[in-house]
Amino acid sequence: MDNWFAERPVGQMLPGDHAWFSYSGEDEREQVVGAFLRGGLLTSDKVIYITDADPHDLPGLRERHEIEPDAYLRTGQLAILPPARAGLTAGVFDPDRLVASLEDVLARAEHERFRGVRVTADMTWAVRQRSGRDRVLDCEAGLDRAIAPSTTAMAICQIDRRSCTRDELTALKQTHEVLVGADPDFDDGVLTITRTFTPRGLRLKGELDGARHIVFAEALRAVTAQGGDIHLNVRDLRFIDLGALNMMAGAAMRMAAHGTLILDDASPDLTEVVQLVGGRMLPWLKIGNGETQ
Amino acid sequence: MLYAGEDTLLDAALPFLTEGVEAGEAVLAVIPAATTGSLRRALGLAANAVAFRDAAHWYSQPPRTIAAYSSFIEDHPGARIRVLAEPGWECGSEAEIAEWTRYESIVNQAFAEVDAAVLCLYDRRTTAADVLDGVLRTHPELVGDSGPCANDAYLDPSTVYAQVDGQPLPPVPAHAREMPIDGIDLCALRAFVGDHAEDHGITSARLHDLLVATTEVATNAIRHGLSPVTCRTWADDRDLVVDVTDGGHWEPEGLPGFLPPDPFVRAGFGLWGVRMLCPLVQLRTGPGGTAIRLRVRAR
Repeated sequence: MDNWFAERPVGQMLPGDHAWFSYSGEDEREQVVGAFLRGGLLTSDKVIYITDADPHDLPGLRERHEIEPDAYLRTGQLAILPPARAGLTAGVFDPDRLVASLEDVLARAEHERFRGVRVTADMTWAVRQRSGRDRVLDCEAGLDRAIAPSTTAMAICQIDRRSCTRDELTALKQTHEVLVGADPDFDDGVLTITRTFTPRGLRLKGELDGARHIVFAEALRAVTAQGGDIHLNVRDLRFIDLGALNMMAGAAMRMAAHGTLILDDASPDLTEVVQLVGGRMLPWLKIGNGETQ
Repeated sequence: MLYAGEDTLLDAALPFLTEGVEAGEAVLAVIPAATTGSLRRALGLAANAVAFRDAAHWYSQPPRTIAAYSSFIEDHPGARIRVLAEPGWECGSEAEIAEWTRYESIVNQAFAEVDAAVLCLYDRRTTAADVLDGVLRTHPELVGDSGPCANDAYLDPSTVYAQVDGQPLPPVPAHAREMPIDGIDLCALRAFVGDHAEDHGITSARLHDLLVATTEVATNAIRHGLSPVTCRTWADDRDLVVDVTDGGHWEPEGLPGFLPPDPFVRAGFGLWGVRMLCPLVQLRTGPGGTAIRLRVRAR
């Protein structure tokens, strides 16, 4: 398996995508899995969630978006498959059974009136079983065979990053061709602002000048309100004006008591500007490399 | 002090620096690299108590120089400051000389509250006449054979400031390329300036600095000025000039953009940043409108 990944925001996933999503908090899950579920339910896709969870607790539906799963369950557009039924044999995770269940569900959805099919499951529990890692790897290969050729189905495999070793994460990640992340909070074709969770912060892409100070201020306010260190990844930011740097300095100063604002992956040009105008002006703003301290 | 040979330079510099070292002052010598060796040798052990800085780097552009002095002062809280400075400017154009003259004048005002003694040295043989003329207008005392005495030619900083700004900017040449700026979205402006700058061999970091400076000036014109806002750019000898005009009459207070802003307030951060980034910034404003002209060397 090679190491090539396509990175996509969840809103831009395509049929045939068998995507990897490792999370480290509920907020992150709500952003990504929630958007995946909502996107399906609101556009007439069949949505299948393999989980033991109560439908009312599915991420990103009721809490902020007031989507009641019951109505979708009644029409069959939303289906909850408990792992015990879909992928356990005598209490042990059975990759063949899960793949067979999935193929069955996909085949049935073909005959229903749905535009497409979305499947997601949190595989963390399976990895944690005895020889779970290898079984999940088998399962992923089977899922890939079922999903990748499809012109209607897409899937997200969720893993709780905090429950896995680095080696496990690397091995599992490599069975996917697509890495899925949160949709941008803002995207007007010139500037994209996307929440990031590991490390916590924002990814800025494109050009940031006076025309977008207001949206940037709002995003910065929201992300710094939670406290702790905040990383602004500026790798793909081609331009930032002095006004936006000034806003960063202000935010960094306000949060100085409870965290640091760190600029990650700044280009040499941007680093020079920050150091030149910031040596004295922005003492709270740090230049970093994306690593959490 | 105007001098005319290394001997006279050392005769003046040595007692000035030694006195500061002996008094436990924070002593700084900003001098050309070529002079550093002989001055260090002449000072002997006392040289260890003197901070030496290369004038060529220190005097790169006025706000950077002011910021550097501010940092030195902040790094020595409570100490009396003693500075020996020999800028050794190689400034060519009239506009650059005018801006350095303004700088020399501003520091009298900006650091008036600082307990400091500053001795500026100019080599009578190599310093241009225009520079010397400025020096005489901006130093309250001159050191002669009999020691320091009041300089009758000294002018109040606000007078020098007005003199510099009284010089009109050269007219925009007919071949200048022009772009109206009609909104705060400045991507197109950056593309316009970037294309011309690259045509003139300005690339990478200097281009980036120019685009940040241009964007800032245009943003201010849009937010605080009056329409029409126009950007013009042209090549002038070895320089690229970017000129942003608007129809408003801006009446700035104090010393706009020359002094480092208070980091807790950060008012005036924008224009100060522009002056830090761009080698020459000229501001002219009046009832007919406001113009800010940026000039970078195309190397």
